Amino acid sequence: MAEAQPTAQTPESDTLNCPNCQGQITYYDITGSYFYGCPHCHFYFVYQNEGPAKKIREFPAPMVLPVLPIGTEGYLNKHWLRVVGYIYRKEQKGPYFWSEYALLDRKGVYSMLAEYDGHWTYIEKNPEQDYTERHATGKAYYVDTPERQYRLFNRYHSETRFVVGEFDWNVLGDDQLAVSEYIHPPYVLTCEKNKNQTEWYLGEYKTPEAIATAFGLSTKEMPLRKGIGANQPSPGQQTSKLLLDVTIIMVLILVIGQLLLSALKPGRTLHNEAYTTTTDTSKQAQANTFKPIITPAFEVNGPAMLAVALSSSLDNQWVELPVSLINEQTGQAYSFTKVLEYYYGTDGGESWSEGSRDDEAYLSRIPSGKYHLNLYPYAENRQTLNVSVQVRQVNPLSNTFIIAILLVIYPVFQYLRRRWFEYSRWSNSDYSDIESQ
Amino acid sequence: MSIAAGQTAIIRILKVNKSMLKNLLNIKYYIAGAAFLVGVFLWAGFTGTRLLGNDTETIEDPSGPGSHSGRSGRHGSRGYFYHK
Repeated sequence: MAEAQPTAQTPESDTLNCPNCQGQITYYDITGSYFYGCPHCHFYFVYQNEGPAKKIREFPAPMVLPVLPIGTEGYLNKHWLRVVGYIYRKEQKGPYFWSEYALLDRKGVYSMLAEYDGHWTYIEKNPEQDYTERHATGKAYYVDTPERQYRLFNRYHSETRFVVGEFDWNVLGDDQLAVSEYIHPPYVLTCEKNKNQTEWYLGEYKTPEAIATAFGLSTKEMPLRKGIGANQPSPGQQTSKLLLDVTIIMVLILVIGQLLLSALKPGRTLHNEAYTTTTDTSKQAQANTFKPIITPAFEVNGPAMLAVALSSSLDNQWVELPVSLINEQTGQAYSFTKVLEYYYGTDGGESWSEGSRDDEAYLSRIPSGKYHLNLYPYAENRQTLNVSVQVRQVNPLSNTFIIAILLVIYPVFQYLRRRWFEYSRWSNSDYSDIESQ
Repeated sequence: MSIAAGQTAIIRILKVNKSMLKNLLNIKYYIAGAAFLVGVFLWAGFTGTRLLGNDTETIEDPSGPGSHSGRSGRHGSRGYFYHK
């Protein structure tokens, strides 16, 4: 957004004297403005057709001073604008206060800038547009426009508390209007209705930084943002669809990658056999050991991941199985140990069991070659056991799941963040479904 | 289609692409992270690596300088371990 520009081509201005305090009032809409709020004595009057000024109301001193002083120039939405009026309003039936700034462009067209709790909305009149509100279910009311669908957020009557600057309409007349605000963040569609006519306005949310930049102010001068604005965009709202698309593409690539790996390196069983342990009776044998079990050789097409499944006919006992996978060409050995234990019984009429008769070990990055397994069983009381050994070359789905979970963490976090944001937003509305959910 | 209509269509496409590019830039770190993760997945698949961990406790290479420990073994090997 462009910085505030110099005043070389700004429209001409003129001055008039306040009929109450005789203070000088500068005004910029030479032919259009009829209503004036004196910045010195807060006298609000109408001055039309060179006739005598007529008092409408005298306001007390303002509770809040405008952040953008009358006469401030700026560039917003690529338009040169000047602040020509300031209105401080309140909801008639609630303690909600906000500021409105009347902005005038070079063509003499008015727009508004509203600020509530540090949330800014730039509002333009939607000429020659008439929309119809439609009731869906419960508290949901919608207005459909060719661009988007808006949902009712708030209805109220306003009460003007302070006026300064110039206007081409009587701002106190706005207090008779029934106002409905429909949102589709960052947009807000406002309907102002009285007995005679209905007018629609389209607003767009602006950050305090954007307003500060537009009017050449420091962000420190801007009111602090409190809570969530009615039409404040939720975090990541703009990129949510793209983020979803990118995530779907990445997960698809993952699935295709898994299918490709399964085709190039299909899972297969390399060895599957059951053995019976034999007690080692040699003198050098330690207590509780059996003679080693040596499997026949099998071919590994590596680099591969091997799953070694071990199971044993345990009966209230344990067996420790140190295992070595030996490469018959190089002598390289990959060693691991599994302890199987399985106990069961009944206690007070309830049957129980703990442990398991089988377990599985995974060995990563095993190079191609001919291998066999050496098992060195060790069990209590040297009881003879049956030990089954199955070796499979596998493509683990666990890799796919881990990466898929990591891929969706950020999109899920963003989704939950947006949900919380929307929940917080609608908890400020009388027209939300939150209570009925 | 007239030349003017064609120009309008091109301008519209360029605007859409510009907006999409801007949104892509907003999630560039996610895209980079996701691409890295997919790369890790493919590397693990082609090298036979299990990302959840490995039960290998030791790798003994008779031609190498000595054996070294593997990763994340769940049970420690016992002192009496011997080869055939």
